[in-house]
Amino acid sequence: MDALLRAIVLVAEPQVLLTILASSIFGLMVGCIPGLTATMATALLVPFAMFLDPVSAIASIVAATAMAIFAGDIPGTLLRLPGTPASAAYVHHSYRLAMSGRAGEVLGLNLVFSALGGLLGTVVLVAAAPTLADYALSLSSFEFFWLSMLGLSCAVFLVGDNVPKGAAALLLGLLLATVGRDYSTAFPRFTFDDPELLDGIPFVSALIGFFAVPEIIRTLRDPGVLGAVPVVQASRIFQGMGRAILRWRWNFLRSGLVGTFVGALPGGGADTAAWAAYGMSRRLSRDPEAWDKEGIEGIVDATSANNASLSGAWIPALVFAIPGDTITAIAIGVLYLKNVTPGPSIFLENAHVLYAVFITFFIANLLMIPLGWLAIRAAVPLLKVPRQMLMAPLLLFACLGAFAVDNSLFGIGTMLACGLLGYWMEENGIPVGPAVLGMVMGRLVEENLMTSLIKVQGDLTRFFDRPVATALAAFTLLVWVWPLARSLRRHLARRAPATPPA
Amino acid sequence: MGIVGLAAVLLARDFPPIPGQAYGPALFPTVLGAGLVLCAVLVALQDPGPATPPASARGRMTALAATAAPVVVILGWDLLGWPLLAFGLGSAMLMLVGTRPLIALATSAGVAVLTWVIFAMVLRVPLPRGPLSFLPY
Repeated sequence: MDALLRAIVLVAEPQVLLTILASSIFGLMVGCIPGLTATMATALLVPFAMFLDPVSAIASIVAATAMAIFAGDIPGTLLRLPGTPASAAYVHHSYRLAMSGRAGEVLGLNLVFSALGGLLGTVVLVAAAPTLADYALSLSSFEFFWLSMLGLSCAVFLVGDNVPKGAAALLLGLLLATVGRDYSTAFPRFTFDDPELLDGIPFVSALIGFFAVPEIIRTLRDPGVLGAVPVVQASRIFQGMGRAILRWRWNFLRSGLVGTFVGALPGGGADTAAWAAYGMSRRLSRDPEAWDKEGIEGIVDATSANNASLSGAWIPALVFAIPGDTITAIAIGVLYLKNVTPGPSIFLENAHVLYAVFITFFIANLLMIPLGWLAIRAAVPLLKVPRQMLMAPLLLFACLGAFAVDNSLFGIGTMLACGLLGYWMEENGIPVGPAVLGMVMGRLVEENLMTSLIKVQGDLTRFFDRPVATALAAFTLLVWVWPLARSLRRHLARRAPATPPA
Repeated sequence: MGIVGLAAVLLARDFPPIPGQAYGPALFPTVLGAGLVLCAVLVALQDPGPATPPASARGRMTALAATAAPVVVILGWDLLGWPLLAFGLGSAMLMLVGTRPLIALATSAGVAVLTWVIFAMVLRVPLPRGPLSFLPY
């Protein structure tokens, strides 16, 4: 109770409230601009977050990402261009309805169900995280090692399209995390006698490089043209919203929970949540024909799920220090930089910070309604600014952000190197998300592995001594075997029709 | 990526072991490097898929300019200072993407002033003034 009161006092600080407001506006702007992702918004926020207290820093990330995911629906509905990948699943559906004169209704649904989805995800986060953390306190390095392995495996095997490429990205990220002094012996690894690398690769500069630079280069290389004519938006976006909430309450609940679950899977993220909820909505619809033509059910489902997933991603991030998506991977990095160590002990040592983060989630999702309404009204002029014109200022901000972390030009060099690496990876179909996940989790995985190895003194069977560790190891193995079984089944299914009848 | 993995394995061979322990700082990078080599082989065996259509000459040039911009920032950091760098680079890149010169110059000047106020004056990041030594911190 004392921690909760302290948290309320913390959040009520003018600096925190102003940070939430400013970050929300920033998030809405980034989300509105097609091609700029919520992850990029987070990466560009981090240099500012460095100068804030931990609560304001995390509040800025929470508010900006929630707003960006919703705002991605605005150009999706008005231009058929998803503002962020999280809106891609239902962009054609939204635009088709907008073209038939229902732009206001669709945008209203996007706004209200995004906020409700975010709130539902937050309720699950608040309910699940402390319970899981209580349990996590009894876990040893063996369980944490297997849990990390399970999380990393999910990110590669369940979420990614191409397992070898996803695994390569993850291993590269983990390898990059080994640069610097080894935690057990302080031996400098892969530093090439450069003192700047003794503390490892500068994380913030690296992630600005991985997420912002490739996007900037791609936008400048292929400026593209708008694929559709903006439709006229209606102003009365909240008309009939009460009825819609009542009518689609079960869809909202189902998709909100699906989104939260997908978000909690490491490597999941808002876009996967939206696709999963949209697909499920279609399969479970009572009237598939109406669903396709004039139904709003799919939009309600997907837009609820992508915002709910944001909160879901914080569950493993806060409880086990295993990020659910790239945004929480960055947020974990920020927490470490702010000397707040995520994991079960955060609930004992920094409970007030944690409750403050929870309160921030509620504020950000409630604030989404008025700010989102303003954003919808202001979107048309913003959408007329050519995207490539924004890239030069963004690149300058990225350079400054990379410098400001340690006040060192090495940061800009790191940003450029990681940016070029990220660009090369994405051009070759190798996702950068697992690489960043690896960079964040590398130290945790190695620490738990080495601690466990020292405990067992070479007897590897003791990694499976404890029941929970064994269960987690079995799950990990299942995740590894699953894609193999799936491809084998597909292979057999392809062969079956070719077999001539006897 | 395979080369990076192989290099990691080879370099990790020189890491000293922990006295009295079977495992040392070399273990984790060695496992990761070997895994990276294996993944590289598996990726090489895959169908490369359709090639990305080439960008226009102008697109290539602006993308190259974006890549070169951080290098220019590093080289001109102390000599030119941040405001001049931001103004010059911003204007050049905006004009490269087809922005009219007056708008490009005005936008870059705005970005230079804004970044100076936010980073140097509010956040106290020690940005270099360059020849504009009269600028306030």
